[in-house]
Amino acid sequence: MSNTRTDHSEWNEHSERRELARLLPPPPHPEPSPSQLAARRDVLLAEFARPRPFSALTARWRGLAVVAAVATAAAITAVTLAPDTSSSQDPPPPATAASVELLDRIAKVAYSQPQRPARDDQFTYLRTVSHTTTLSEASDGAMAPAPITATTERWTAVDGSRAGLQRRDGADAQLPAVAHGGSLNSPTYRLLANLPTDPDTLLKLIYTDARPNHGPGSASTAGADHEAFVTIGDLLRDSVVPPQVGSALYRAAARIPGVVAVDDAVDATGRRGVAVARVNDGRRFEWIFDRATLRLLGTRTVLLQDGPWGRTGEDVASTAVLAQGIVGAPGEAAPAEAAESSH
Amino acid sequence: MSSKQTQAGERQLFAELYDQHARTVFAHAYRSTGDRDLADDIVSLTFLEAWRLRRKLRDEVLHPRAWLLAIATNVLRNTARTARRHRDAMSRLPRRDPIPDFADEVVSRITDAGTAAAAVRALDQLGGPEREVFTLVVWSGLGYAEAAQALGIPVGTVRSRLSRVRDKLRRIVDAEDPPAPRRASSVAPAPSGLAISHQPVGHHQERRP
Repeated sequence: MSNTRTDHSEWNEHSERRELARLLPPPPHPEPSPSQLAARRDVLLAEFARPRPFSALTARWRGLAVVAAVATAAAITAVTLAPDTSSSQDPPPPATAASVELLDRIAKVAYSQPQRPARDDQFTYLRTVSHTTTLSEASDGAMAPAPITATTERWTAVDGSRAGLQRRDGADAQLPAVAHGGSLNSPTYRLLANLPTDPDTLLKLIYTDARPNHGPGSASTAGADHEAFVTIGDLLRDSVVPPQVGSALYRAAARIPGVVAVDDAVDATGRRGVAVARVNDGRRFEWIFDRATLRLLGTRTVLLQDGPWGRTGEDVASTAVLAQGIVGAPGEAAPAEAAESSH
Repeated sequence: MSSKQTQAGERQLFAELYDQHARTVFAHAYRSTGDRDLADDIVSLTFLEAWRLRRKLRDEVLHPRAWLLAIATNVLRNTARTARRHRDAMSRLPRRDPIPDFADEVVSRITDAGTAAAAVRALDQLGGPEREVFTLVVWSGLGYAEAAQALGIPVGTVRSRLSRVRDKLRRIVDAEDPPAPRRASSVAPAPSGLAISHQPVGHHQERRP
């Protein structure tokens, strides 16, 4: 077969495509069931018809806008739609001195944690408790919060190559293997262990990941700074992180504009501590640490203005990390560790 | 600043878009992930994103199918994050009914899921950008120019990526034919090049609290 360049580029395209399809044919796919398709279509169309304040909120980036936690459900009565004025802001100031100092101490503690050897045939284990609430539409059209509390255990293959397991309130669901060793959005332990431990390099990497979706011109209401902060928070809370990398993540966070320290915060199981936080879009996103040991207890999101999900000062979501570790197989629990309690 | 009328017109347009292209997006998502429930969610997320970006559809998009597949590609890249963006909408979607078509379902799951899982494993040996070009062009049938536009890259890059894919796939096919166990020391060799080693079930990356 001659590959001389001709003007018949369409023909080339055609034959090249055919050869590729022969090498790796498209696998068969199940047909989505017609009833499923129709049901989802209706919900989507209803979604598109939602009155503007809600669709504006929906489009706001952080899912936590949508998930409102109820510390005190009874308190939630007001349904004032906060006008969306928060997206155009001046650039935030650098992280406060107090938060930088706190993060420095946290980073040192993280660094000194024992390095857990992890083999590719093992699994990371996490147990968390979370309080969230879905805002759902009542029959009269009013939006009412419905609280959800869940205990979740999650096992992920160290290298992502095998299926994982999620056990939520006792119900098991297999999690698919993580393709390509994962990403910053769905990391594996192996991926985390290979991240740069220089905070500046690491932060640059995180921003590179955040910018296309949340940088200038993306219409994201979060912005790259907040996205970077949340990415780091998710990594720290939802994965088992090697000590040096954890330390670097905290130091990287200290370089994000807008980061502040909070004196008193409480996680999903009522444990109190100090917090590192960042405000975005009327909500403060907190990472909560044990005051004495400076280990991560959990996270919380607090409303800073009244809105459909609650009043100023209420939390709209909170999580507590109860145990984490490296185990041999899905279903095997790691013991609750120092993260659980220090008192 | 859309009037009620415009809004209704847009919804009508999206209803048609969904009817015409939901299956295509589903097939693309299923082949890329090998996971049926995940593919269902990718479809919904793709249309939610499309709605969010609908101004583009009106102003810039010539080929809705290519545009939707481009959005699906982004959703596949950032599933967890997109799911968070649309968490309330997603929470209102009906879950799949576990009862109907049970036997059918199991059979098709075993056969399709096995082949799909094997295909996904083969895809895993390609780099992310190569995978995206490959699945869009070869499996979902976008033209080179459409794929280039969908991915925001020059047509030349589509060509060069595909030719790298071709070289890699040739090597993989050579390595697997005649069928050989994946690991040299494997005791029980896989029955064929397209063996089932794992069958993804349910649930995608957890939507984090």
